[in-house]
Amino acid sequence: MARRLARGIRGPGHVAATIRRRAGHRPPLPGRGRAAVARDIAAEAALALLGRSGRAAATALSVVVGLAAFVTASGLTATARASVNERFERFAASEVTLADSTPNAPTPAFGPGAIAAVRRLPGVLGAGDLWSLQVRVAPATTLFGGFDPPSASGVNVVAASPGLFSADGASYRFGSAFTALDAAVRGNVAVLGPTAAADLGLGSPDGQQAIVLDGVPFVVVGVLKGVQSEPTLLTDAIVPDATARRLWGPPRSGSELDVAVDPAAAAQVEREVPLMLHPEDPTRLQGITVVQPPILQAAVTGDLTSLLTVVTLAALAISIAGIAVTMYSSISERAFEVGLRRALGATRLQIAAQFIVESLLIGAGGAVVGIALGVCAVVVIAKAHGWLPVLDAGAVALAPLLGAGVGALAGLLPAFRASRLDPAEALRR
Amino acid sequence: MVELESAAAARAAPVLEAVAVSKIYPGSPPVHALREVSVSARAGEHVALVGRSGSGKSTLLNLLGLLDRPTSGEVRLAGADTGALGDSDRTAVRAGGVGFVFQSFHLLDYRTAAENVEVGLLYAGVPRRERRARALEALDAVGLSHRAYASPSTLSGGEKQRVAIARAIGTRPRVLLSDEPTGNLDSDSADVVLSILDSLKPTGVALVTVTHDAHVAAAADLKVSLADGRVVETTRVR
Repeated sequence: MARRLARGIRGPGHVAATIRRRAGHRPPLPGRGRAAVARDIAAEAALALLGRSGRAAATALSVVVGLAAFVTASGLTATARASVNERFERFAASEVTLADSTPNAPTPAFGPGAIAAVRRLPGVLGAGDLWSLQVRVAPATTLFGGFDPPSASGVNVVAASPGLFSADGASYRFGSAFTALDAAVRGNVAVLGPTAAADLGLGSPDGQQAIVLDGVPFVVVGVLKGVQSEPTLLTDAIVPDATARRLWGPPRSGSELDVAVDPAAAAQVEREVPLMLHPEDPTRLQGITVVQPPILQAAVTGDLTSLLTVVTLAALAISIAGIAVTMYSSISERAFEVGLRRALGATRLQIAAQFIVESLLIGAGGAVVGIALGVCAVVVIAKAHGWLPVLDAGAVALAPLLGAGVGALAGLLPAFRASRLDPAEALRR
Repeated sequence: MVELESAAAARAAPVLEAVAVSKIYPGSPPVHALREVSVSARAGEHVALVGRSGSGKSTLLNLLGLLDRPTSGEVRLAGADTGALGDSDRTAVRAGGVGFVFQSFHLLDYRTAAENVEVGLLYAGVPRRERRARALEALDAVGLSHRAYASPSTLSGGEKQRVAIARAIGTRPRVLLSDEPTGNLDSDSADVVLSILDSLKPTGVALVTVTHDAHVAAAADLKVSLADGRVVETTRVR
């Protein structure tokens, strides 16, 4: 209008200015800018909400539920992610396996003193080597014409150093591992995996038993209950490496070294051992990882993130729909108020802005309550399952803004409808 | 002498004027709410629009208050045709130039009496720091300064209508439009409201009141009777 007057165009704006002046309307003071108008609208919105606190609370309920679900989901996801990460790290980095990539090489992959040298490396908790033996195993009773179960042919025989059992985290159903002394004297002793024991008819050893390997008797000093890694041991008959060398010579089909490590040192040990044992050809030893934890871990956490995204979108959709529907339906009840404000001089924009601000405040307020409930839910659920509750600080900080955004978004349609109400019609209701 | 003549001419010129306005609500069949109605109100003049229900009184009041647009004809405010004004300009004119009083008061029940008056001042562009003083001044003018901080739910019908009048006059409008201002009041309260409206005339405000009440019509300067959307009689009461 001011621009039109400046250009001298006597359009409707000029007429309006004339009418307003003649009607006694005083133009806004210079100091009353947009900020003051915005402040007034925000105050009107806040007072309108306070004046209908019951309805406002009911409208905010959907945001409370939605944001509580969001915070709970993000909290439980963070808790689950932390738990998964911890388990992965514990599993992934607690053992390094190094395999001989050149089994037919003239020199052994793990020569004399190699295991002792590896054990001295920083971060190494234990180490033991392992190789397969092509020997036949049978129960000792066969020496005296006893029954030779056919399942015995499925039992593999491996040679291992005593340190392998602790490196692989072995536990025992009966007896224990053979000792360094057994290995030093090259004794004929063996440890059976539980499956191997069953296949050999030694399922419930309650006393000292024996097996025969290529006709040579071995005393069973222990039966495994389980291992934390190297699960093939559960089906094997395991004899001391020194004894195996004495009876059947050095490894023929390659050997491997299992090294128990501090998780933080895993990568460094995997790099250093080949360099230390085979400085002329470090590729002689290949690090073997049965699973690729980082990839699997990423996949699992990716799934959790996808779950969180779905829950978040659902929560936001619930919140938006809840506010929008409640506010939209309340416009009929508030028609006279809209008509009154329009009659008093509120512009369509001011009406729309008031509804949007009301919706925004409902969203933000509901979000604060929803956050509190969500945090409580995470703590209670985590405690009930014995988990360490982990809260996503970003999600908690974001939630009020999210609530406000959701509120503002949900308020758009009701605001548009309210601003389009015909004031004369609205006042008649 | 010239100044006196121009002042007299200004008083004689209508502040608010409907010139041959018609209003047809679309439908099947269309409803002819008003048919070429002309009416005017001068500064300090009280015009009563009387007639039975459906005669077009409230429709005419909405047109005069720029809440609605005529199908044909002109609504002139301070001599200028408002037909070409856009919605925002009509809103701005209403904000400072036109006051409304409704039969059912239309007070915001979650605000005090003073705050209700301030709502009108807000949209008229009165700065926040001035609003409370202006609201109290308006409430004082209707004899309710002692109830300024009362909730509408604690006010009697007459007091509510006086708050509504205070809200209407708080912006110091040139035109005050009332739709059955005494319709929901007992006779004592109605008398108080009428006397307040009458007391506004010396300020130069043009009053247009829609009423069924013969007592209210008798208090006006001009009585315009409508029937079936037409002016059937115009009577100078005073």
